[in-house]
Amino acid sequence: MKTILKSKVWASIVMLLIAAIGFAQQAPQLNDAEIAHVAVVANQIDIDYAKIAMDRSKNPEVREFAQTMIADHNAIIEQAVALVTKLGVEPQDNAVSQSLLKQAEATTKMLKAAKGAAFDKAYVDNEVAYHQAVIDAVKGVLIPQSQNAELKALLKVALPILETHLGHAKMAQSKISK
Amino acid sequence: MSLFYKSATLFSCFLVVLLGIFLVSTGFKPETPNTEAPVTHVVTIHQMKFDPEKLVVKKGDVVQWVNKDIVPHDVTEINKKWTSKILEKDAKYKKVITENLNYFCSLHVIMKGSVTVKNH
Repeated sequence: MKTILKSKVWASIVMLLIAAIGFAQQAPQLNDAEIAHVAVVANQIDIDYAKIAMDRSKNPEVREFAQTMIADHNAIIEQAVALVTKLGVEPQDNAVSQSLLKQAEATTKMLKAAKGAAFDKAYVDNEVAYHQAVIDAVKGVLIPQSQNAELKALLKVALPILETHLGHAKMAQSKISK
Repeated sequence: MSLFYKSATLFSCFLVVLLGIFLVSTGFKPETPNTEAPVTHVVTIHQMKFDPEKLVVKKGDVVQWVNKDIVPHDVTEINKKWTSKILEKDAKYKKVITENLNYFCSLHVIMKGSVTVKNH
């Protein structure tokens, strides 16, 4: 029963992510201020997940991964903030950012309800799904739609970082599920 | 000089020549001390990769890792015998290479590299 419930939860999360990407792809053109907002929100969401992991997990690998997520996503946010400050642009709230935050609220609830090994699995599974969704959004929406060359370049710098995180999360996932 | 001494000298020369041919044919090279100054090789950490990932150096050469990414990295021996500690953007770490080395970034465990010592 528990397994069926878990599967249902994961199916709904995956559907939400797919819907979000689909929504983002069908959404009206995002301007650079909105793209900058999405970049900051998406990175902050992963920092917040990592902070929950640092509070709850005792698994050294999960904790090391979470520490890296905090350091790296903060570094990306710093670059994004430095760029918008330089360009004199105020990041602008938008439907994609709101959609990401809405999903994050549901995921946070799910993570906070899990304990011990179940938490580690839920956190790492979510990291795999979340990074994959963000990579797809950066590749398919944010990079093609950004107009400013420096913003586009920053998104291209962020991409291999996200891809490395995905590889790291998948490695942790394969160890946890053994 | 007596015929005996002449023959002995000739025979010695012959033996030396034979020995020389033998040593050359067996690939023997006289041991000469490495007087070349150590070379510093640079490995750039860029776009979440060690570049070059595989490096061949002489014993005693220096490898310097330079982090050109916006995120922190480190250089850690594959069995965690030693680590560079965290390298922020533009930070450098140097090491004299005395043996083969396999390493990774302990912050991003899928990033790996190696240094092979080869006598040139």
